[in-house]
Amino acid sequence: MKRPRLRRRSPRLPAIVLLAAALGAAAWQARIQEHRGTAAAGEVSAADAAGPASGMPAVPGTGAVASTWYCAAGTGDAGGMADHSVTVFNPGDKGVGVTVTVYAGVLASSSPTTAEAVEAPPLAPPPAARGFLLPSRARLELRLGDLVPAALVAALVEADGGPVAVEHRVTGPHGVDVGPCASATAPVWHLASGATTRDARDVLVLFNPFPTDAIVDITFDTDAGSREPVRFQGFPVAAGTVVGVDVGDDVAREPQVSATLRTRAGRVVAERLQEFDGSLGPEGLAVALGVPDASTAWVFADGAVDDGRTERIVVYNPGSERAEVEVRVEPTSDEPTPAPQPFRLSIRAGTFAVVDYGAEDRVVSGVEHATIVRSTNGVPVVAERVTTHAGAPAGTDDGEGDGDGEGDAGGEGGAGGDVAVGPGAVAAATRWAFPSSVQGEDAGVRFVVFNPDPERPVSVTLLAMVGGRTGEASSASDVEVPAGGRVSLTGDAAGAAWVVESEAPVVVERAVLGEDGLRLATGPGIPGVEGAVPLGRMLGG
Amino acid sequence: MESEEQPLASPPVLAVVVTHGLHANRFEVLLGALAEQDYPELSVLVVDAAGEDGTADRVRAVLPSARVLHVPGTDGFATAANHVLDPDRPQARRAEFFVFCHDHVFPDPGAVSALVGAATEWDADVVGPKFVAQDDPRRLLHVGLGVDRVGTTMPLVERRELDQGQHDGVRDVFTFPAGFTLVRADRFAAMAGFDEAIASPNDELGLCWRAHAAGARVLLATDARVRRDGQSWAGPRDEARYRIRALLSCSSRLDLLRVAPQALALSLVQAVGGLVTGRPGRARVALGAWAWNLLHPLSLWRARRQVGRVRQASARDVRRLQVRGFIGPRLWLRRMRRNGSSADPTVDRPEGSGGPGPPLAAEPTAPSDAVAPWTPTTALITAVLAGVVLFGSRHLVTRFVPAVGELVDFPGSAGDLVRAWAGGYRPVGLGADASAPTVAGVAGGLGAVLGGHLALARTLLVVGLVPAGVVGTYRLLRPTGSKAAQVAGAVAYAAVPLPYDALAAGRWSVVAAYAASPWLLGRLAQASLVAPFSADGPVPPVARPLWQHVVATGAVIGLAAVLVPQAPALVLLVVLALVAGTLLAFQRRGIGRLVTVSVGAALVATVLHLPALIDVIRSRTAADAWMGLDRPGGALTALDLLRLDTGSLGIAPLGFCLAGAAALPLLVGRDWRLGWAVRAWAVAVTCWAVLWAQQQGHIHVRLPEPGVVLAPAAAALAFAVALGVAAIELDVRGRSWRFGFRRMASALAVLALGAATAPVVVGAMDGWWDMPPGQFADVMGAVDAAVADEPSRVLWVGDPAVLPGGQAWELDDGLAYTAVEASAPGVADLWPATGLGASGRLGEALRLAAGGQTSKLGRVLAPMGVQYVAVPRALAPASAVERTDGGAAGTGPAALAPAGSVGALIEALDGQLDLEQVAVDDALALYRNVAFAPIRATGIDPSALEETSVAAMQHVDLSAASPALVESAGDGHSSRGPVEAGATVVQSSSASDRWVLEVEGRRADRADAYGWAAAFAVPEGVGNGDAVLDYRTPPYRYALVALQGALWLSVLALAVRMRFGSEAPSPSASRPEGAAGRPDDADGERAQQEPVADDEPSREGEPVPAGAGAPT
Repeated sequence: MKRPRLRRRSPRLPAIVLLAAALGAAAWQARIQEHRGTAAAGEVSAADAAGPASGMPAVPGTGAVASTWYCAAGTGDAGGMADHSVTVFNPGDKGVGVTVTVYAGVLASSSPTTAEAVEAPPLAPPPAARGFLLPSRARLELRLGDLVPAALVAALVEADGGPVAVEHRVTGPHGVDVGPCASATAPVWHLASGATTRDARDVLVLFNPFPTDAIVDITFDTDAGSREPVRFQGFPVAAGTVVGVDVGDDVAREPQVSATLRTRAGRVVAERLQEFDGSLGPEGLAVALGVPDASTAWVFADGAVDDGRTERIVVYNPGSERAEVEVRVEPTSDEPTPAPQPFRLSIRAGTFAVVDYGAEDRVVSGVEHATIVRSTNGVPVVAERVTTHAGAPAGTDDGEGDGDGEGDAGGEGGAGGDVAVGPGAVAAATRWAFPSSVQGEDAGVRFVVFNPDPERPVSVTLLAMVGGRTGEASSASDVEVPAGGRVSLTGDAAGAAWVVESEAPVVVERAVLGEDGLRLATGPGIPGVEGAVPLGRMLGG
Repeated sequence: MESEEQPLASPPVLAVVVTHGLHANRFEVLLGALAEQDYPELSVLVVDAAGEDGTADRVRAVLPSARVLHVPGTDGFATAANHVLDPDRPQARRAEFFVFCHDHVFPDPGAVSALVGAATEWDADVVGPKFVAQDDPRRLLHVGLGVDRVGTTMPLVERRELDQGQHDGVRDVFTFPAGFTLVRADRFAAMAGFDEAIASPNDELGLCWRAHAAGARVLLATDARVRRDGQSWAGPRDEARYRIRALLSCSSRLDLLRVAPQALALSLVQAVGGLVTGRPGRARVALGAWAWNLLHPLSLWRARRQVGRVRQASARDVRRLQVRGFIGPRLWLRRMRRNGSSADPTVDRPEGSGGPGPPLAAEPTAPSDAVAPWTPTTALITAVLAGVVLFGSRHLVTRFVPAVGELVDFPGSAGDLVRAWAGGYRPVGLGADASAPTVAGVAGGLGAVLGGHLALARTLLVVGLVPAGVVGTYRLLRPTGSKAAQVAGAVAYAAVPLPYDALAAGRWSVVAAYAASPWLLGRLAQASLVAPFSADGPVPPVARPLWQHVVATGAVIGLAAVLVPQAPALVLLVVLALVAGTLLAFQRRGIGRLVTVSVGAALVATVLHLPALIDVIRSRTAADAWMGLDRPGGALTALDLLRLDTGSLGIAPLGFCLAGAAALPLLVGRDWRLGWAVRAWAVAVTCWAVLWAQQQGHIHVRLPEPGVVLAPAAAALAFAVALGVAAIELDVRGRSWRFGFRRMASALAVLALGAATAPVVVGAMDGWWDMPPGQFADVMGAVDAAVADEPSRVLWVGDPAVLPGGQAWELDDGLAYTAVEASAPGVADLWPATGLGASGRLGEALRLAAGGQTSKLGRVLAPMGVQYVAVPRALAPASAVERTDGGAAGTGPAALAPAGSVGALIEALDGQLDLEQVAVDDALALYRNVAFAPIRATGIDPSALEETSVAAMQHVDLSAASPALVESAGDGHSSRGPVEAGATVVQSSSASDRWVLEVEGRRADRADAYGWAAAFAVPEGVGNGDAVLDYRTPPYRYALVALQGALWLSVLALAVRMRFGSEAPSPSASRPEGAAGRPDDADGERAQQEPVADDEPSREGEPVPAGAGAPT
């Protein structure tokens, strides 16, 4: 019997089916991945918009092997407008070696006839360095003019390790101010505020400690529009020098001047010295570090308006898109007070907006508040606050201000009072350092802690560090800050550096009060990088 | 009556028959034909060159009147025939004409009469007959030959043209084929007979050329009809030699100056063509002919002098008889038209069978190329393909190949590169006792072969890889027996965007993988012995033992591993896929062989890289580095993989066309077309799947560049495309004339293949394959000078995709770094991560800066001798990047990197207080370390040498260090210079006791410096003489290198023997029964299948493919 011939199986159908399945799966996966990619891109941009914690000076972590600080603005000769002192504070547990190198510079001529005139300023003294060992929890203050007497002096502070914080103090005939030095350099700096009115002097100080000459382009934005003065396009800052620029020479009689500095080559640190002579209003001196990165959220923990105090929020949009910004005032009082309607600002690219609380009815006079500036469309902005204090107000809780009414530290004649100008905080942190202290028996320091978390209260402790010892402020141990609220703490140890610790990220501001109760300096402290969180992420900017 | 008058007027003629004892049966038939000649004054002289005893008896038996001359030991036809000129030959002295007969021609009875009649009537000195086919006298073989100025001959009739008298008559010709030539005796004597340097009976070209030069007349008398077979009596090799000899010996001096260069150029073109098309035998023949002639200068000079003695005609008179222009190209086209074969027409093979060799050839006839026949269409497509590839590479060939990415420069001399390879020490990074990559030795060796032209070697090793891959695909498809399939496969592979994307991105390993993949696939396919790669395939391969497959495949993998270190692992992946494909095709045959060959070949390839193998075994870091970077995935989607799209070249929608065309054999193929299509798709899908899983993070393995993994997939797809074309010929065309699904699918596949080529054609327009026409070296001249003045390093850090030098040490956030003692890495610095040494410290320093832990990176890097830090934002300088298609703002590999980890790194470096920014180019952030110490320095504070912490170095100032031993050898293994007695020379290279400092013959004591480098204490009491710092390569390292060289030579020798040597079995041994055989081709491989008669049943009832069958 003939056996039937077996038919060989063809691989065609299985192969085609498998291949089709594989290709189909590939197409499906690619589509899914594309979708995820779009979503991830959105997440990334949101995170970027939140802004990094490094947008403001920060104290390195305990594991840091070195840290470098740049204190740019100040004068070093007798009779200067802002005599420059640096305060180095070591809040860590180990002593660190610190080297302070002082660089000299001059104010750039306002009317150079040639480019060479700009590039060849008068010879400045060479840099001078001093090294010392800074014990744990100790602070050291150094007047830079003692090392290098020059029209402008800047300091480069290098620490061999440990969490070191550095501030600088400027003292002049019209006031005194304290502010943090920069812990990093940047290719771009923004300065939201500034005034060149008849009573004001606005000096930008550019510090270049690097071995490379820096070339800077500066753009000013005023009510009259944007200006790019020729002499500030390709403006040279030689390696190892500091240069001052009097803004009023080129942008005259402007009540509000915002500035952006961009380096074509090299790096600089940019700071602003703002001086008011009191001829048209309060006199004062303010030093403010530029902001390297715009952010979608800013917090000013302290603030109040009353008969003696004014407060303005300047929001500057240095980007290329219109920013939709919400300025919210969070009042704090013994009685429940409803939050006023937020101010909504629509700011074109390259312009600014000013919210003057004194002129707004919705901000209750005499009630202290925090201010939250938030970009609602994700376009980062720069926010600064300008406060003036004509004298000790009545009815506020800063009772330490009952001074003798002699005015500010250096004030001579004029209207008295003081002016403070500076950016807010872009990060919340669990540890804030305040190296500078106050001088005089009746001077004081006051800290305002704002808890940005709208749901959970947080406990904070104020620590005073004097002569290497640490002690808790008597009335400021484990103070609870309500969710979304603020508290005020008083520092009562003379000559101390201060540290505020909290169990969750908070924003802390300090007000340095003069013997007459004037607010000589207000502004956020220096956060520690460990435990710092961008406010944009917390507040949903 | 004429017949009665003729004897009275007939001059005596001597027919000279030279025999070598061969072809006895034909010899006697010839004698019989001579006996039947009607010419009365014909006498016959048989010259027995073999000196055999029975020759005289055999002659007497057929032609008693013939005389026999025994000249045993005579070498060659010419020498034997020239005996007629001996003065003691009365019969010869009496003759007025000689007729030189070969022993396998069959003259008609009136042939001699016709020749003599023409000679006497037209006063000719040399007269030739009309040759007709031996098997069919109605078919013409030759009626004279045309000759061009370089001696190339051309038949004046179509081969086997029907003889209807259309060519009859007496005419002047330049020459004619040998076989039955009448020569006037006195003229023959004046010309000193045949050229005795020519061994075979094929000196008619030279004889006639000399006759023309002497003012003699050469005629063709068609009344003289001679039958012969179609075989040439000299092989291509001898014919080429004799042609060149005739040209060189017969041309006048002035003519020679004009023509010889043209002939040489043509030979070079022929040689290049042979190499490109994978027929090195042709190149050997073309160039060997010149070598043979030039190696016999005395003989050539004598020949020229002899011609000079009789020369009466001017060069113009001779030229007038030659064909204008060059015959070679016309002949090639004519062959295309005639039968699609590119075989040499001068090698007229006997029809129907493999005929015997030439009667007196001293060596076997050189084989001809016998591959699947060309058709005008395939030839045209191939020409266009070659044109596109050449056009797209024109600037790379004529200008330079930019040194970008892995495509590093070949610095120094060829000797430097070889020494760097053999030395056992890598200066890259901070230096390490490790092997330089084999490619450095290859580059040096090739450069030496090319007379030190390293740039040319580099161009060949880069640009040549693309055609190598295309040719590999063409060769892979050879066993299919279809020229159309071969060409389609080559076109499909050339249309793959991988190599062009890789060139644009500077990925040498990808281009190399592209070049190697089809060869690798071909070797594996041949090893499997699965049809058509088996004896029952259309073009059966040579049967070889398994070990030869192992070694040959290992050689291919080893060659690939020169540039693709992961090749041995990759081949295992391919075999895994092939096995899966075989099972999917419901077959088992070949699996065992595939596995055996692949594993064995991988081992062979690994052993071929012996020094690197030792490094890999010794160091986990080296092993990791050889396997590839730990890359973050997500860059390529599944559709990108399907399109084989890893870069900017390509038109996205057309990217799927290749895969579409490759699907055809799955739809319409049968038998082996379907089986291999399944296997090919299995390879492609496996490669895609592995890469996809890695890209998606499903598997965490180190992989090479994505393009390297995709290359086998691309080769497999091209293979499938070619199988589709074979399927059209075998499974679609002959089955039905109805335009059904099969034909529609075939048409769509052909269209898809055409569309797939469009992106490559577009990409070819710029002539650079989208490579940036510039390199960082162009903007770093000052850096080179600075690094040379004070021995120091340049630290490169950035995105690995744009970092020069290939796979480097990994940093955080997807960054990598390398350091070299020049402005940019060279070929010996490729893939630095294979040697570690102390180079990890460079990474530690960079991490400090990136983490904001230091603002004095310059000081941290100072003890490491880093003078410059370079961060590339793009593959090349911005000016060059902007000229590419992607552009600086585009998405291509050459585009400037967006802000990200590189931006953050630049931010960190900008903030360093001791790094000076150097503005050289927008695409390169360059910093000069103002605090650096030279690599070899003196004057360093001894306390600084005790600091071992990287971070702590920021507090140490080394700026007071002075350079020492500045004069350095090109291989980085030696330096010298004056030193002071008692000084401490610090060498900032990874500590090794192989480094020795000698000052005036006294050895300096060595101590550790910085915990990782070395400090040498110069002995007191020596003068300020020269100090020499040497790396003493250990003897075992030299032994390893020597062993590696020996292994390579052995493997390559074996490969050459397999390809060209006597080991290749004769075709008939492996020929399937019933298939007619041809001799081996010039490459020693089996020739193509003989034309199959239309009525011959094909296997399994299949129609004969057009490309493999009889000419149509």
